[in-house]
Amino acid sequence: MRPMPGKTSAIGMCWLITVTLFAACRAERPEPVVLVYAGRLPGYADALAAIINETGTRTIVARSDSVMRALANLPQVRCIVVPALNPSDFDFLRQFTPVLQRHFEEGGSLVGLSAACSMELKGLATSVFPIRGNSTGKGKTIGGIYGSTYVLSEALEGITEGLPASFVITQSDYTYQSGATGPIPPSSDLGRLSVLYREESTGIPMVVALERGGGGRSVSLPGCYVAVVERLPFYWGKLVAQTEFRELFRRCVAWAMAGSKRYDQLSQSWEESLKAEAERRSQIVEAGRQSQAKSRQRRLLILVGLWAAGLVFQGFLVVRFILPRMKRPIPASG
Amino acid sequence: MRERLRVDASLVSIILMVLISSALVVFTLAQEKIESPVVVLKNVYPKKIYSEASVTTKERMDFSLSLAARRDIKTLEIQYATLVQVDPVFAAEGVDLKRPLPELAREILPIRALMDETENPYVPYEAFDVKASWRNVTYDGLFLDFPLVRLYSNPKMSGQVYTSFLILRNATDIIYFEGISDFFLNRFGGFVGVEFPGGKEPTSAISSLEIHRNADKASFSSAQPLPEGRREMAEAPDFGRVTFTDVLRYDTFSVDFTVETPRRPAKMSAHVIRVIADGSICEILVNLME
Repeated sequence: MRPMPGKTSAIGMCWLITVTLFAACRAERPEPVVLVYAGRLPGYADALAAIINETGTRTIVARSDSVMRALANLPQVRCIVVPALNPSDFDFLRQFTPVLQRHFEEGGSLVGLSAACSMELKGLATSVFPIRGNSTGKGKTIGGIYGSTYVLSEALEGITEGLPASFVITQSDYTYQSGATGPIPPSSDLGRLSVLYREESTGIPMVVALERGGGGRSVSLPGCYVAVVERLPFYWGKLVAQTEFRELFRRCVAWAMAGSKRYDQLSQSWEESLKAEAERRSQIVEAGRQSQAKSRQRRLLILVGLWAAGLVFQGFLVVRFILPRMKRPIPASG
Repeated sequence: MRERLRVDASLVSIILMVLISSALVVFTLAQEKIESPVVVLKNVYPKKIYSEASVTTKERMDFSLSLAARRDIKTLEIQYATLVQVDPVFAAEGVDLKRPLPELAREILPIRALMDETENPYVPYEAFDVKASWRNVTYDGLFLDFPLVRLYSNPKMSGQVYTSFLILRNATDIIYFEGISDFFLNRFGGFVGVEFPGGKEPTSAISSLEIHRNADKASFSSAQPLPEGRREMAEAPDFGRVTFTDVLRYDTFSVDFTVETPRRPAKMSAHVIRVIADGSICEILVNLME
């Protein structure tokens, strides 16, 4: 649709015709999509998206911040994955956190990796990913992998079943909340929180699932700190190549998606909402058209009235002043 | 004595001519159509956006738009979009910038993603040909708006959600803008990466906003405490969309606001103001600011 300014009636008609023509068509329920924030590591985001794609789930990699700003609120976004690693990403996330928080409050689902669960990002690491990380633990070389051993802490249907009770994940660091007396376990008053895996030697939570009371799920992976440099033992390519990580991540996203009340509600009412909006718009156009028609009618009546009055006045002038001058006596015959 | 009426042929022809010509005049007036239902009386905006930190004295940036209705209008809407210039991120490399603007728009990442994801028969995206001038150079442009994004966004998040895009082109180059549906950036605050001398973050980049319809006025302010008779800035119309109903011919309207922001966009910014009468766009104003 490319309306040109100034051609109001034509545009209005086109709009009505478009709506009428398409009224018979059906707006299909939007296909769910997982939005993966790329930040400054598009290769990493692509790899994470590829893992999700293996399950047949559609993904969009937000290669620019603008894509996140444009798409995050769409109803088909069933889960948002936030793997933030770069300080430039944090600047964006500080601004954008209110939108992500709102998404979660509305029953949406999110999966956060590494700094998203710990950085001071206007509450992202407290309200959505309840890790509140303020201390850092280091990975170590375990069986040729630089990382940490994850051990099962609490089983959760959809994520832990089928996964080994212990496995090593590539990561340079992990974050956790620490107080005066040592590590503080994560907590949330928003809903049910489960610590699924812990770091073997310290017991620090490594996979935390939160199911919000009013709907919405989040999974926090406060480890998974990786690097861009290929020669480093915690290069992101090594993480995404690990079978255990791939399975864990896939399951986390699937579990989060399954609990997205926001998607369920919005996608169910998708067609009705759009129809209602189209109806509202066409009503405005129709009301305007009727108002204009009335206005034109009124104008026409006034003009005809004025014209008739003018004619009557003209007739009066002719009868009163002109005709008497034209009358003259008829000469008597004979 | 009887009188005889002498019918004067010239009189009859004059009467006939008057009848016919007046009927023609009436017919013409009845058919007359008003080209645009509104006339823009004033469109004032600063040519340059200043941030408070950049100058020693406080720069006030006043924006003012004033309109008059040329006919009765059932629903009159004024929709603001505030956009900032950024480098476009293309979906593929080596895009020919001389391609027609609608084709070029489809190659820009957020636009392409939105076009794909919001495709539907009921609330489609809207594209408008626009013209804009900057430093004596006139640009042809394409403005794209995605109303579906607004439909699913919370109005209080309007400053973070991109709904609108503008591509301008002169003979050699393109200038690309993307932005939000609102009167100005940071209407709800949320300044990141700014040091506040007093330590207190302003609640809004818009210090005051007034909406007039004839003698009636609605005033909004972000001052603390709130001046008497003014409402919170958050209560100003959502998504920068001001709506008037049952507009009468010769009614006048204006939207005036003042921006005092601690942060300004790095490059150019643009205001695209659409005036919509009874659901149809009748004016699009593109204001470019350095």
